[in-house]
Amino acid sequence: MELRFFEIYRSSEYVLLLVQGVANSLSLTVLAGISGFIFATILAGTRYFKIPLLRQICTCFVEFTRNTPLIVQLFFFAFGLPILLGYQWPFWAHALLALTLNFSAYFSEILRAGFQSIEDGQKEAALSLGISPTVLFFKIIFPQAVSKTFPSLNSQFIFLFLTTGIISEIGVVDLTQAGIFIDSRTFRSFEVFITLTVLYIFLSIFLKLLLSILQKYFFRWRFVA
Amino acid sequence: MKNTFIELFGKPEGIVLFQLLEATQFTIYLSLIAFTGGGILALVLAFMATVHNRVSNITSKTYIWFFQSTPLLMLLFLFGLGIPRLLGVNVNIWLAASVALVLYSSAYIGEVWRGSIESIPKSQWEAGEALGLSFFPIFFLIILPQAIRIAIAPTVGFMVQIVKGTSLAYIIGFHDLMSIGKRWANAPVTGTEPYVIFPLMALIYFSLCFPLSQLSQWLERKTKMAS
Amino acid sequence: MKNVRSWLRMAALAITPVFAIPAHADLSEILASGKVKIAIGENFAPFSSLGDEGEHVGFDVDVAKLIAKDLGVELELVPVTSKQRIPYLETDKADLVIASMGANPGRAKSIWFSSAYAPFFSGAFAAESLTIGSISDLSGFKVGLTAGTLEDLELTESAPEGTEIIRFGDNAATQSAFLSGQIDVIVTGNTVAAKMGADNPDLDMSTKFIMKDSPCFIGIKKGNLDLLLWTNVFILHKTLGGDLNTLSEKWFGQSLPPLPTM
Repeated sequence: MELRFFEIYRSSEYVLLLVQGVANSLSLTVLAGISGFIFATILAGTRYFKIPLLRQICTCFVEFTRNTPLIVQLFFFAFGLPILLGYQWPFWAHALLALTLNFSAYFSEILRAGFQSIEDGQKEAALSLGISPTVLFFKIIFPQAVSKTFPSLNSQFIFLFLTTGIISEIGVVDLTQAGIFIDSRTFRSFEVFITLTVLYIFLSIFLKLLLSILQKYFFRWRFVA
Repeated sequence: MKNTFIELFGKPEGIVLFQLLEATQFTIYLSLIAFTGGGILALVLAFMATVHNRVSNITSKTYIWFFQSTPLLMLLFLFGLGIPRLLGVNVNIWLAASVALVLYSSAYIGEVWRGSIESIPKSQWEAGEALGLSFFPIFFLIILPQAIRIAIAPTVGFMVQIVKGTSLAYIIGFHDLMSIGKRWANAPVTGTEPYVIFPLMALIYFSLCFPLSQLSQWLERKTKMAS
Repeated sequence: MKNVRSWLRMAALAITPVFAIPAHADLSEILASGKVKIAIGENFAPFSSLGDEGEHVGFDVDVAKLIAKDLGVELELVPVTSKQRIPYLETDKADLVIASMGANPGRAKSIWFSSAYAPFFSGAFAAESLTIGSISDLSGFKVGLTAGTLEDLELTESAPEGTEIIRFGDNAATQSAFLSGQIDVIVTGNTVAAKMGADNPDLDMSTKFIMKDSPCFIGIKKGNLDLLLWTNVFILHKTLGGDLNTLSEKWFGQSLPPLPTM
């Protein structure tokens, strides 16, 4: 038994591939996070305002997405749906769609709890003052809910980021695929996957830092007594 | 049993359904192993995190941080492919998948339990000391029962993640619902197209996870009401 | 560091008897145990795929059955994915690998190969309308293949700039990608493409070019010399006797071409 890490690092091709993988994993996850958040707001808002029919559809979507594995959703969006609807996208787009929808289901649950935690009194007071529901939502409920639930959203995001490795199965060149590529050429599986693990850990630390900076920046007002 | 399915649904649907459900039991077994093993380790971790020993605390916190920052897929690859290749030994697939999932679960469940133990007011500890009890009895007789009430809802909720986590094990050769389903989805047999098989698999996973999610939500309501 | 490693190794070996399947590696052990474990492709028609009865069927499966019959032992089929073929041999999870496996010097560093038993021409296949005459015409197209296969290694080396090579986790994903129109060109075996065409009559797929003659070999763990020699005799016998030809007609719709021996 011997450890041969240098086989990976000696080749610039492999190192470049790992860098590319890091960049892709990061960018795809961040994009999915942002768009997932936007969609989650729509989902949670629909349920909060109890819009008939749409509300039930959203609930079904959220429950189904949260209770089925990401990989099944991924294959459906990459191969199933394109056949049914007849479109051709690059695979990172399929992955982004699947990840966005997947993330949104989790975020919407957190946001929904956040919305509900805002006292009804605020809603009633605003409506009686003649403030429209839209303004009520965006200026009063939403900011408070997001700032309250931001830590939950953070940890959920990091958790979801760690599940994105599976997109390598549909050919997206993320960090995991970079590792599988190097493994299939060097057969040094242990060294490759230890390297990947370390990289993923660094990435989650990086994302955590990024999000805490974001929190401090966006929610300064929260900490002003 | 197989024939009952064939009679009911005809071939190949009957065979597919039978094989999928038969494979689902392995998904369930692996999930239970992960939950039980992870739960036991989690208790140890939570204990280590709350006991008055710096080394113990730091070890526990580092362990939890490490496994919460590592993708489950990597753990599966390491134990299913990396370590066997490194040592040149044949590692049983159940052992590899179980170890990966147990380590993974133990960190998350451990964190939940640590949090719930730490949320028990200090007055409880002091009351125990006033009664003349030492650390261990206080921990197990006073603190833990109260902590369980707080921890049970999120713990059951994490079981859902475990079941979904098992769907990754097919990559290292574990023959469960995901693996058999993929096999059928791509078999050139009419009636087993991907758009038939994948929704079916999703439904089976859903029927495993949704009751657990509901149970977790129900438990959360019940424990909130009581406190 | 050496002590830690050897300690780790001993610890691993100490617990493996509890959990590991004992090595039925070489010929004598297989004969003694009465069972041979043969790894076949999980999903790669016409070599090996699920049939109507829910059992694996295909060229490789039939070869495996013949081997078990000639050995006089029970057959245990172990379905594996492409990337598991070599690890399963190395870790004794399978005694033989009959899974449309090609040979190259890189792989030969890890395992032994028998003589060839099945033809396999890797090629590029795409819709009729695409003008692709050779590998240099692939620029600008989305080319899909399975990660870690010989086609992967070959194409990566020789593909021109501007070719988008998409590597999928397994053959199933690669085929799904082509069937769902998400890739322009699929690089796989000629017999595999033929089967895809046969199973999907509406599929717009024609052969663009053949990349390499890369016949299939049976994989054997390094060191099992008896098994290797026996396997080569088996292949010789079945080739001369016409058995392999019958199977070739049955599964590939063509007679067995001359195959290289080791």
